[in-house]
Amino acid sequence: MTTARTLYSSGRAASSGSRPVSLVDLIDRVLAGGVVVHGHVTLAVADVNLIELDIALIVAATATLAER
Amino acid sequence: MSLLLYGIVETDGEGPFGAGLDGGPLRGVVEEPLLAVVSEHAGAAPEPSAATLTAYERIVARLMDRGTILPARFGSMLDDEPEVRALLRRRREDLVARLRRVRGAVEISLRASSREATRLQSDRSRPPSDGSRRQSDGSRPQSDDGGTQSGTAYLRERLELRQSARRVAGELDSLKPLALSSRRTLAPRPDVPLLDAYLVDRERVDEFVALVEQIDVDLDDVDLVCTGPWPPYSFAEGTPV
Repeated sequence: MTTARTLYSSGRAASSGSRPVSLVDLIDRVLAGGVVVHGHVTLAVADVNLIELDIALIVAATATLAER
Repeated sequence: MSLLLYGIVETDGEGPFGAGLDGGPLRGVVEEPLLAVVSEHAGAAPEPSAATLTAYERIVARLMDRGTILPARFGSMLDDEPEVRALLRRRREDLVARLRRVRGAVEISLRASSREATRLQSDRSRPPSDGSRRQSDGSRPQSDDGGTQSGTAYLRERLELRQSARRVAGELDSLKPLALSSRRTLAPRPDVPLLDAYLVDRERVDEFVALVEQIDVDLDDVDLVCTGPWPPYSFAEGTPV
């Protein structure tokens, strides 16, 4: 299977805040890209922000745990 | 029982398509010459957790390996097959044209991050060594003159960010001949002057990434990160590609 990954990265930019860029790009695409159907797309912009916040917290917490 | 839509392909890409998010089989709903890949889903749209979004993307990526696909936005629910067929009929011309234009291509994301902003962000997230930079009540640090960031300073930062974005955009112009199409977002965040999506022929991805690396050598104050290959999420809607 073709798996999206970081193809090139300079310096310390492989993460955005506490999140890997590949995960941020994935969220951007599946929540804000793609064909929009006339029917029920259930996510609003406010939800996206919440999800990003949640994921930032999860990743930050995991990183903290890993350091201990 | 509703239907969760994963993407739209041409009918010559018929199944089996493997399993969907709930573990049940994916199936095709045909309205010639298009086929919508769906799975049955009980209740509301799936919760958009990191794990679910990643699983969804993997399913769409697997479908992309089978052939050209226009991915659907996560959470696209339709009531039943007649509603799916109505969607395919209503948007037939546009969807067929888009499928034709993304055939054999993948999406590459290119993010330019400001080194200075990344450094400041990193410093802010680090606990202060002597406690002098953090207020006892947890509020944000004050500037040296005792006040919080002024409106003028904020506007100056925004202006510098836009100028930086335009300059970086100019440096990246040489990527365009390698791409079939591109989308650009200027300054989506204070530390990201530029966020691009490129539609690149599958066979030219290595060439594209090599050129990004070459361009990066001349950029002193920004870092570049390239991810992919993605299904063409950024080219499924909006201005025709």
